[in-house]
Amino acid sequence: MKETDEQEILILIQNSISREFGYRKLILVYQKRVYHVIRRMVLIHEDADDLTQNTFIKAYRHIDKFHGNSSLFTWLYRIATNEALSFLAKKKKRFFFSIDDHQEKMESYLDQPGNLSGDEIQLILQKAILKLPDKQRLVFHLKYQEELSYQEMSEITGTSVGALKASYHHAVKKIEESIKSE
Amino acid sequence: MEKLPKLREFIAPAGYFDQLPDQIMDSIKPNKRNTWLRYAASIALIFSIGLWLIYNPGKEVQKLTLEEEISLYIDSQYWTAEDVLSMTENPDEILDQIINEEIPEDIELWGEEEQIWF
Repeated sequence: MKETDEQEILILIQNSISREFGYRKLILVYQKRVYHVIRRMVLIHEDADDLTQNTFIKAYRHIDKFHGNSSLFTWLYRIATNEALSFLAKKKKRFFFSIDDHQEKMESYLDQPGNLSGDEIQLILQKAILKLPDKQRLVFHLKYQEELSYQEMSEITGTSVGALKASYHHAVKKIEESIKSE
Repeated sequence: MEKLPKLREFIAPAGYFDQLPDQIMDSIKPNKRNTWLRYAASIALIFSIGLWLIYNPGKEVQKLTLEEEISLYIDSQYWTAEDVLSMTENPDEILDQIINEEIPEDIELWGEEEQIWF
């Protein structure tokens, strides 16, 4: 998205009369990207739907805290990725008290027909990615799928470029090994 | 990795993105109808308690503090968190406080030591 468009949305949101219109425009522009970045992490549509809505609601409530130090897109992605990681972390904590293993649930979700559009290599690749730790999985998606620069990823995750490069390198290595062993 | 394809996107249900902006906007806007229902429910509750006290004057009533009473209504699911918020003078401030308490937890996720990225 162009910087001028972001500025236009921000100006609309900052004005109390046009706030609602500006905010709707923000959702229309970013909803698909936000949904997909979350969906790749949580896999299940219903979870992705909840987290996407939470992302935009939090963005609305905290828009006055956005000072323009990063782009609107980066800020929104930061909320979205935090939502997804918090959700997965909570699911893992709850597993200690429950028989519901969320990791297994996500793995079996990939096997269900109709959930994944693609051939066998897609399924193998998705399963290999799912074996990665959550944060490494996120780094992999942001780089490989979204093709973001390390600088953008650093702004989203608040992590150094060096750590992100190393994380991506390790993720790729693990995925390659996992695919070879299939 | 160069030989591997890009991941295909998961498919969202048909029409999902057409409805999503309205769903989000509805969650943000205060629901006037629900507000009136909440007030009506509160009046009905006060009225019922009044009637109960009139018809049971001899029984000793166990006195609860205001906090205990509110907790009782929430625990018994008579009031939701939204109901309680709507009865306060500064619901937005309380809501912001709750969200602010949640956000450091999110930030901590990124603030953990970097070796876990490897």
